[in-house]
Order: sequence, then C-alpha cells, then structure tokens
Amino acid sequence: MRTIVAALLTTLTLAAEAQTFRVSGTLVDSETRQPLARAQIKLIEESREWNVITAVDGGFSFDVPQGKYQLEASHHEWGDVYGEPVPGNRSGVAVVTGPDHNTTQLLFRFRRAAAFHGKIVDERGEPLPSATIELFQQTITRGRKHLESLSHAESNDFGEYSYSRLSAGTYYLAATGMPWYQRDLVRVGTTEDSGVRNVPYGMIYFPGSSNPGGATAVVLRPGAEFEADFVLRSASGANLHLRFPESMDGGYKMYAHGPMNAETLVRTCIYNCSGVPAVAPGNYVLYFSNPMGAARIPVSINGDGDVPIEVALKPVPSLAGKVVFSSQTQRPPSPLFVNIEDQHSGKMTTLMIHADGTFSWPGAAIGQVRLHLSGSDGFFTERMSVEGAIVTNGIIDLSGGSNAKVEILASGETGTLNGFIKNEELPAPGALVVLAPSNGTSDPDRYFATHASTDGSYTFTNVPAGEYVLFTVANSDFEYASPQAVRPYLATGKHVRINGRLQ
Amino acid sequence: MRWLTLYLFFYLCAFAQPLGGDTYSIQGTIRNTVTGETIRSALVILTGAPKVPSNDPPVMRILTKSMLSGPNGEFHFNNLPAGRYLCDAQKFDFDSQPASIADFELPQSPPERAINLALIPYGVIRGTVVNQFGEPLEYVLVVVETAAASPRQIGRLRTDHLGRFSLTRVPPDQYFVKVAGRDGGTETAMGIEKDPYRTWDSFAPAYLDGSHERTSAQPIEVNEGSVVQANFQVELQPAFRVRGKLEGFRQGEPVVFQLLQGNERAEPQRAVVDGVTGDFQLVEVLAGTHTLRATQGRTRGETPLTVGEANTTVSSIALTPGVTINGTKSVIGFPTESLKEEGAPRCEIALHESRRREADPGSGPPMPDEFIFQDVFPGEYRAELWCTRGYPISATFGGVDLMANPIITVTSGPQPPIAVTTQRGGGTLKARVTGEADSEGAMLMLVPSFPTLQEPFLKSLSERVAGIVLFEDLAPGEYRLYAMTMPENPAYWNGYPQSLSGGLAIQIEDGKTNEVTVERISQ
Repeated sequence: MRTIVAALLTTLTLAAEAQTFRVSGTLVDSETRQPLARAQIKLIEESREWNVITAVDGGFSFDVPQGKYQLEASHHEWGDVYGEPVPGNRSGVAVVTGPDHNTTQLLFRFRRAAAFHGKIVDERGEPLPSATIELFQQTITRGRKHLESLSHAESNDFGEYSYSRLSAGTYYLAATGMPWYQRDLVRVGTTEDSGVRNVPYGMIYFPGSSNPGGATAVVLRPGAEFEADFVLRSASGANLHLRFPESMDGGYKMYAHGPMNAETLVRTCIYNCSGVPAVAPGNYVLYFSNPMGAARIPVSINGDGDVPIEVALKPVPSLAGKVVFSSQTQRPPSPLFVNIEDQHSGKMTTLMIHADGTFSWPGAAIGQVRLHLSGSDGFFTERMSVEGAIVTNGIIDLSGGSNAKVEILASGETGTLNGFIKNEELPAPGALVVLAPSNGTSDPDRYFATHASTDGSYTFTNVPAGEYVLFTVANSDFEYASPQAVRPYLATGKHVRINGRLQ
Repeated sequence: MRWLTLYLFFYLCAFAQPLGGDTYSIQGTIRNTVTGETIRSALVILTGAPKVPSNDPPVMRILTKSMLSGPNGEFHFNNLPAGRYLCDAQKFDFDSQPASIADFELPQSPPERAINLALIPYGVIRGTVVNQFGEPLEYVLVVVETAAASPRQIGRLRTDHLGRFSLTRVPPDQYFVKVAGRDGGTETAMGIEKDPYRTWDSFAPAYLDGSHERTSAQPIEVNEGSVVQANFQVELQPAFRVRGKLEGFRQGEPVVFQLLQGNERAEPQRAVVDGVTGDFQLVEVLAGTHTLRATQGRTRGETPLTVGEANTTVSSIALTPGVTINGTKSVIGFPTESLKEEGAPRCEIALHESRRREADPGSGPPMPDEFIFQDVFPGEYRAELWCTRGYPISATFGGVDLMANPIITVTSGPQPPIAVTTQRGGGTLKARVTGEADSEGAMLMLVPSFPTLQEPFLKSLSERVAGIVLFEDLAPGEYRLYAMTMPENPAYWNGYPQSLSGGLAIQIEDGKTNEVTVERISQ
C-alpha cells in the first residue's frame, strides 16, 4: 500500500512540474519610474533559479512550476528584491504561483544604489590626501534601529573620496586626518624645531561641525548621488602620556565620540605605546586590553600641552555559562551557539556550546552585550539568569573585573503561524506583518516580521510558544522589535496564542 | 630621504666650528620647475650646524627649523647664527630632487640672503571608464605598466561609481594603460551556487587606443607635471559561466584564475571556489577561445577553454607543482676560485615566461658557479643573459643550443641542466651622436647580428659622458647600431628591432675599442 501511495505522489509531482505558470512584469527605477533595460532578473526557489535579462521596455517573463519564489533584480552590480524588504532583512515579497494566482504584470520598483562623493580640503583650500572619512548608517537589525559604522574611506592626492553601493537610508559622515608632512616631520625628529608642528585635524562631522552633537543626518533616496565636502582645520593637539602599572607595554584603541553616541575609531597602537601624540580637542574613549588587564578610560581634551593618563587596569572581564534545556528529552539536532552582540558596535562574538551545555569567553571585551542562541532553528532563550555582572533589560554590563556567570534555560517549544492578509476581501501583498509578544518584553528574539506574499499569504516559523499580537504596518522602517514602537498596536492588533510543539 | 639626512648630518658636522657673533635672516621662494608658479604649503626644512661661540671643546649642535611656505611660495628663517646650512623643500605631489636643496654658509652665502628652491611636479594619469551607452562602470581594474620590454606595473587602480580612476606621483616615462576586466578575483565559499558578483555581462580587456594586444598598442607619455587623460569606452557583451573542478586543491589557500589569450598578461578572473571540494565557477567569461589557468600557491594547472554563447563546463584542472632546473656557470680566462671576488666576470641568467611576460622565475641562491630555478611551471620560457666584464660564448639546456634558440620548453618531469660559459673580456664601442639623431629623448640601440642570449643594448643619450655613449663588455662580432626617438618607434617597447632600417654596421673585436658617429634617426 505504501508503495502505491509513493508512486501516486511521484506522478502528481511530475504533473505539477509539467504545468507552468507565468511570472512577468516590468522593472522600473523606483524614483523616476523609467524602465530599466539590461538588468538581470532572477526567480529563485530553494535550490533552483531562473535568469532573464530585461528588454528595452524593462519587461521580463518566466514560465515556472507552481511554487513560492523570491524575485530579485541586479543592475550595475547592485541588487534589489521585489517589494519592500523586511526591515533589516534582504527578503522581499515572495511570488506565489498557482492556478488561481495572477503573477503577470508585476511592477518591480528597483531601488538603485545611492552614493557619496566629495572633496577634503584644509583651511587654505589645499586638497588633503589620506584623510579618513567614516560613514555611519542607521540600520534596523533584529527589528531595532542602530547606528553602525559602515566603513572608512581614504582621500586620494586630489582630496577626493567616494562611497558607493549604498542602500537608500539615513547616514552620518565624519572626517579627520593628519597633515601630509607628518611623516617628514618624524624625520626632523626632536631637534630644536621651532617651526611646523605635527598638528592634527580635529574630527569634523558633516556638514561642518566639530562636535558630534552637530552631526546632521543625510537621507539618501534610491539612486541619490550626494556630494559631501569637508574643510578640516588643524587644531593644536595635546600629547597624552600613558602611565601603565609597572613595566607593562600595552596596546590601545582610541575612539572619538561619534554622531548619535556611536564611537569612531581614531587611533590604534599595538606595541610600545607610551603615549598618544597630537590629539585634537574633543571627547574620546581609550580602550586597553591585554592578558594583564583591561580598562576603558574616557578622556576629554580641551587644548594643547601634555596630559598624563594613569592607566589603572582591572582584570579582563570574562563570561561563562551553561545552557540547560527545558525538556530533558529534547536536544537540538545541530550544534548550538551563543552569539554575543555588543550593543554599542553591533559586533558579534560567537561561542560554541559544548556537549555538556557549557560555554565560556575568558578574555571578554569590555562592553554591554546581549546573548542570542543560534545554530539550530527553533531553539530560543526561555529564561536567563546572570551572576557577577549587572543586567538591565537583558543587557549584560561587562566592565573590567566582572566575571559574568550565565545560566540559559533553552527551549525548543515553538509553533508555526500561517495566514492571509486581506484588504476588503482582496489579498494584500507586500504588507509588513508583525508578530509581537503581548507582554512587551525587551528581548528582540521574541519579535517577528515578514511580508505577505503576492497571494496575501504569510508564514511565521519557529515562534516560541506564548501569547502574541498580530498586526500589519505600512512603514518599512518600522522598529518591530522595539517595545515602544509596538505598544500602540497591542490594543488594536489581533491576539493569537502560539501553542508550542517540541521540534 | 633618510640616508640623505644622515649624510647631511655628517657632512655638516665636518664644517662645524666655533666662532662668534651675530645672527642672520634668510628668505626664499619655492617654484614649480615646469610652470614656474610658486608653490604654497610646501614643507621647508632648514638643517644647520651653527658655529657656536666660546666653547672649549666645541660643542656639536645641529639646528633644525621648519615652516610651510606661504600663499606666494615664500618662506623665511630668522635668528640664524653663522654656519653651514642646508635648506630643502618638499610636497607630496612633487619630486624633491635635486633643485629643492640649497646649501649655503652664513654669512658669506647665499647672495642677498635669498634662496630659490624648485620642485619637480609628478605626472598624473586619470580618466574614466564608460560602456557603449556612456554609463560609468564601477570596479573596473585599470593597470598601468611601463612601456619597456620587461614591463613593470606601477599602478593597479579600481574605478569608482562615477567610472573614475587616477594614478598620481607618476615619474616621467612611457606607459601602457589597460582596462583589464572587473576587479574582484576569486571568492571562497561553501558551494559555488551563490554568485558573489551580480553581473551577466563583461568586456574584452583593451588598451587606451582600443588595441587588445600590447604589441599593437601605442603607449602614452607622461612628462613632469603633465596630467594625462585616459578615457575608455568599453563594449559590454553577454558573458557566461564556466564550471569545473580543481584536482589537487588544498583547503584554505587562495586560488587565482586567469583567462589567457595570445601573449597578453591576464589579470585574475572573477570566480567562486568551494573552499572544501575545489569545485569552481568562473563568471563573466566572454565567448571565445582561451587558456584557463588556475594557480594555487606553488601549484598550477591549465586547460584549453572554448566558450560559445552559453554557460559551459570544463574537465577538471590538475594542480601540479613546478620543477627545479639546475645550472652551472663557467668562465674562460679567469680562475674559478676567484669567481666570488668583486670584479670577476659574471653572467646572470633569467627565464621569462615567453608568452605572457609574467612570473619570471628568479635564480638563486647566488653561487658564483652554479644557480637553481625553483618552482618552474611547465611551459615555454625565454632565457636571457646579462654579463659584466665578459660575454657568453655558449649556453645549453640539455642538448638545446640556447644561443641559437633562446626558447626552452619545460615539461613536468626531471629537467636537464642549463650550462653557461662566459669569456672574460669583450669589446667596447664609443658612439658620438650628432645631427638629427642628437634630439631630445633619443636612444641608441645596439643589436647583435649573430645568435646570442643577450638582449639588444639600449642606452639613452642622457647617459652620455663627455659626449660619448659607451657600450662595454661586448661579445666580438657584427652589430647594427640604431638611433631612435622613443615614443614614435614601436621597436623599442616591443623589445626587438623588427622593422628598423638605416642602422650602422659595426664590427666589434675582443679587447678593442671602436668609435662611431651616429647622425640619422632610424625608421
């Protein structure tokens, strides 16, 4: 009997394969609405993909079996997905094909890459080579807004720099540098030089402020080309003299205060670091870390001269713990990891969870961190308890000397939620569907968002068991994991209960 | 520059003497040697050894002062005691030597206490790359190499999103500028399905004048301070993917893929390789016939590749290590035990990959009577010799006479040795240049008319000493001597006098000096 069923299924599958459905539409520039020719369109199903190149009118067409697909386009080496992307995620609106679905006449609005370019000059109007321009991007990761340092660009001999291939969004820029003759002054050395001093350029935040509070956001539309020029002014710098305990010889990293409380790396020293020469006025943080200890020292510079800094090291913080499973019979099918996310920089450190459930990070970095489980879908932190460090809203404060002992109660009790979003009885493709816990927890791992597919359907998988509120929003920048942003919807949304099932 | 400072230090010390008295001021101006314009914001450094009064014993004192030149290139230093000084200027986009240094002794010099310094501006090559629709292309790899027979790459640039590239601080010379393809090289991934590059089209590498081969391309000339525009328009065409597998792949070591065509040097092709299995996929491959080369560390493999208008698969490429070639050198007319000494006749041999001008195996360790080439990949190589205080009289590779045919074929098995015999001595040629041949930028090329492993000898007229261009250590025999003006004559950058006429026939004899006068430019 079993054989017959299997054979029947095979036949059915083949029949379904034989019948194809059309996915077609037009690729247009999201801003100008002009058709985009010579772009590559991909239709992707889990392990298969189809490619076409758009015609002069931006048209594309596929004939594919019944299924659920991601539709992507690339133009000038830049890619975009069909529909609004889920915040902080690259997946767009899925295309569902089948007998009852019309997937022709799709309007694919392509969001072109945005870019910055500009010129850095000094107060005399001379181009500044080798200036550093740092770009910060406001992103939504794990459903919350973050300001992250995207990268550093360096100006060329004409003082020019550029950043390309940027998503539309909100950015901040900061520039700094050293005079080109710095190298040659080193050669002059410590003789009785009465002339040119090694004066640094202070940090300038776009559009021209020397203090981070004056940093102004630049909002880039898709395809925007923004020109951001800087005038750097030399400031008489202070020399920081580091006094280490005993004969320690440690490296440091020095950050300046950036826009929106972000930190921007301005100096690094690895070896033989007795001081920080020529530091422009401003607020900084010095980080020290080596096997003997760690320290985080805020430094405020107001003028020039020599500034002694006592480096008092505390033992390097550590983080260790154990994962206990809520159900004794249940173990994840693949290895499990603990991801440690620094709340300031967004930097992730991944620790392996050993067979006995333990994990450890002996030489941890100073910072404020949040832990996430990863590696095996469907496992989540049900409860976490921490000793040896201060915890606020699930964020562990790792300062020098702290030894955090963590116990994580992990559970695999999750469920799936399927549904359709309809607007006046018609499917509402592209709506952002949010599933938020009704208890308003600050744990971002409990918040979920997805898009309704072209047929209005949506699916949430691996949802921890519990009470939730389901709602849709139109805003693609929605901070769906922020309790404050979600709160207004808790009353109006639809209450659902996810009954967990052991995976 | 550092050595110069040190040298100056000792030089100045030698002149430092105690003496009494007044102080002086000097002032000066810095100019651009090409435009004559003044240079602002240049760094001027004054180093001196003032004569310190009434010290017994005299105390050595080095004084350094510096300033940035003002808006009109002006600078000044005050309160200088008598003594010897050096003043030098620099700026990042200028070459410092040699007019940028002034040497004077206060109070006798400089006249009127004024010094004039000059800086030589470097050249610049900048340009844009657009496609046939005029749209800028980003991430295009632009390479700049010297026009010499053995080219040296001086720049690898990548276009920005406006299609722009620029190379600054370029010394005067002749260069080839080439759009070599899209930059990126090989990505290592888990599996090769995911394409790290989002492209479906590509363009054929090309030189500035549209040529696809160096032998037919014209170089550009960069002079002091010149800004050379190099704008490219490339033709994007549909491109395809090529899949295959590397045999002998080692995990964790980077792989470079190149698509070789003709004698052109090829830059790394965009590709993705599975970091575990060695499966690979090349992207952006144009239809045509290529040789696909994969290199991983000290192993390499090649396979012919023909791509039609579709994605394709090649049979696996076996990565195999190179071979070792040993060699011996002997000198006639000189004792073997003295070969290590300075002044001994010496010939150095090199193997050039004959077809693509790249990856020349270096010889070493430097024993006076033997040499070894390691990691020589199978293929064709051209042997080349440079000799001093002697000339080659025979060179063999197994049974092959390299003097008659300098091309050797290296296979994957054990290789026969290379044996080079040098004769001590050689003839000398003194050439005078007059008339039309005595023109700016002209070169003399002395080409042996007999089979030898030595390249033609090339000398610039700027190497003249007392009006004479000197060629030494010449093997006896017949030569032809040509005068050429550089940029116009392709014989120079192609390395061989393929089509030159009008040279002078010259007979060289061992131990003798021949003198000639060159008047005409060869065509």
